[in-house]
Amino acid sequence: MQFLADLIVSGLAAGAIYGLFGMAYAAIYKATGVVNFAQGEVAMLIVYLTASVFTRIPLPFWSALLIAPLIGIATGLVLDRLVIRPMVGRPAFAIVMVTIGLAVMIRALIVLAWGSEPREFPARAGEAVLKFGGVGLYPVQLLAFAVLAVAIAAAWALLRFSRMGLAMRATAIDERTATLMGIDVRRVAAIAWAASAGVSALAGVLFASTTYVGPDLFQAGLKAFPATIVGGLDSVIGSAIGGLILGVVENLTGGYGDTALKEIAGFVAIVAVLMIRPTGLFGARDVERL
Amino acid sequence: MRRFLPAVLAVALATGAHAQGVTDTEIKIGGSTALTGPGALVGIAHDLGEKIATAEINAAGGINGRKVVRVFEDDGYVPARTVTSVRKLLDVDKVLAITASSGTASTLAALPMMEEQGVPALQTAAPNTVMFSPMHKTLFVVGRAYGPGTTDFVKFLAARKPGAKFLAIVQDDDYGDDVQSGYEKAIGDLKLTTVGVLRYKRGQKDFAAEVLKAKQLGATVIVSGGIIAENVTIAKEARRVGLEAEIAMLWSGRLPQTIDLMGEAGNGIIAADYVGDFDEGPGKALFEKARAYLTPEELTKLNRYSLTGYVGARLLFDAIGRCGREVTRACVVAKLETTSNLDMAGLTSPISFTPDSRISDLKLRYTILDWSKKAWVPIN
Repeated sequence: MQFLADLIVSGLAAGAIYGLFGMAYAAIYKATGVVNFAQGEVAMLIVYLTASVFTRIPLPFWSALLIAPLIGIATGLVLDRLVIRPMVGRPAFAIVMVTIGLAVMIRALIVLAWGSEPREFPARAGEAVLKFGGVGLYPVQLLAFAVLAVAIAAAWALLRFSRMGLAMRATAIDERTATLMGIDVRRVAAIAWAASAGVSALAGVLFASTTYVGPDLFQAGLKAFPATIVGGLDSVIGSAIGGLILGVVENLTGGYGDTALKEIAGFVAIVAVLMIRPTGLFGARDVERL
Repeated sequence: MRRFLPAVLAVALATGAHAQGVTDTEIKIGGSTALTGPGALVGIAHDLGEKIATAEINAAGGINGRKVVRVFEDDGYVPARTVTSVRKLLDVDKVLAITASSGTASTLAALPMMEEQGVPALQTAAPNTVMFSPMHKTLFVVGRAYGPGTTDFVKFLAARKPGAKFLAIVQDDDYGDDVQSGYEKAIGDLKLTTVGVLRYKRGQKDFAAEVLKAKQLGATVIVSGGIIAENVTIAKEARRVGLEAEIAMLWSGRLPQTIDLMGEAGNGIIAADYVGDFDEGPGKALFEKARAYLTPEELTKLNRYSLTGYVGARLLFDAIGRCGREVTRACVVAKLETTSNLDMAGLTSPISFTPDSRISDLKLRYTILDWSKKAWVPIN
């Protein structure tokens, strides 16, 4: 029983970070109908920028959870202005290709600017192991749960109660009609990119704190992609839950099955979920009037 | 035309025609490693090791009066780029020998080209079995093969902790295959208790399930077949879940950066290696010597791969030196394969090859990580 509890809690800890990445994917998709394949790279860039700040100015770890999203929002706005805004009105496929190009550019830029050596994140969240009913967690893993909970609450409030949330949903459904209805789709896209980069900044910093800052950090974002597919690509909160599911599925597969299958468990989950619900567990169904 | 051939050859010899990469005053050698990208931690260190060896021999007058000139290419640890780099080194730079060709896949990709031209080639960073079995005439592997190295290591661990329950965590590639075969051989030879071999996907970052499984199975010694990041994560996870097992890892991850990344979780980890460290013994002496040849920034980038690069270059220089003034690729290969107990001043055990073997099989030494000193301490 303890083994099962350990596997589930460990899976949730990893899943909380997947969930944050998943929310970042979904935020952009929900507002613009585009999958940002540079999500992991954007997070990696923000982590390097944040780490540079913390190397120069020694600050406590908790402040990274404020500074990184701010850097993330700024990065998101810059990327939107330079890369995405010129593509407004173009087919979604073209924009997706641009994000792939952006991913490659960021990877190269990081190696050029910071080198390729892995290093620890300059601020530490503490190395004490906290015990909860026999299950051990590092402080940063607890923080990941808390951050995910706050992010879910904030996303729910934004989408449910704000005009911006409504505008994002309208833009995702039909950009042209949204424009005709007076919605500033460029502004919506910019806010979506900023929010997405802010959330992925949190995911990146938490992930780097449990592992390291290195030029392969982007893979964490890629790894979380199944989370958003399982949860629903157009469901920000569903993607967060998808992350938790993915983390637990991976760990249970590794714990009770063959560890070599752990890494593909997420993709098996995608196939299984999409066969039953093509829009993901929490994704909206497309309904067309005939 | 045929009747002019002896005359042409005579003129060529008289005017000092030499093997490719060799002139009256210099010998040109080349290498290709990752100087950028994630593999650069290894590649840059290797490059610097060769740089020290080259500067050292040139300061001593070169090889039989010829200065050594090095050309180094960045392949980013991408096999296709290694092929391009090696082609350039051979066809454009016209080097005599190749001292490095990144990792296993890269070396195997460039090997047909090097073999076709009879180029003496060294591999000091990845002593994988596929490099020397079957034997390749011109490729010489310096190190301890992963398989036999793991066998030695497990036997050492078994002697250190009688009655231990072993478990191995290995990567799902040729490196992992080598580690697993060496692990299983030691288990079989000494009839040790093993509770399993867990394989993981290359590039995996989360090892919670593997470590929890090791705890569930009652493992008391874990042979971690990771490279760098994997060993770091396994150590951290073991600490988190309260797994009180001894963690042992091979040389590939025994880098200064690994100590920092592991933090306190790395304390007590045991490592096997065929080279020493820059902060003790012969390595320290070499470090002091290197101050004359490297910049302060370069000195910070030295690690065990600098020692393997240095040793490989010294081996090649010795073979070239034994060819005298008539340096040819065939001669260098012949001298390399007859290298016997070449002394490396304690940096490694003496190096030997035979006409039938292309692996030097160096002796392993064992260290334990002392977190308080942030250093690998030799185990007597």
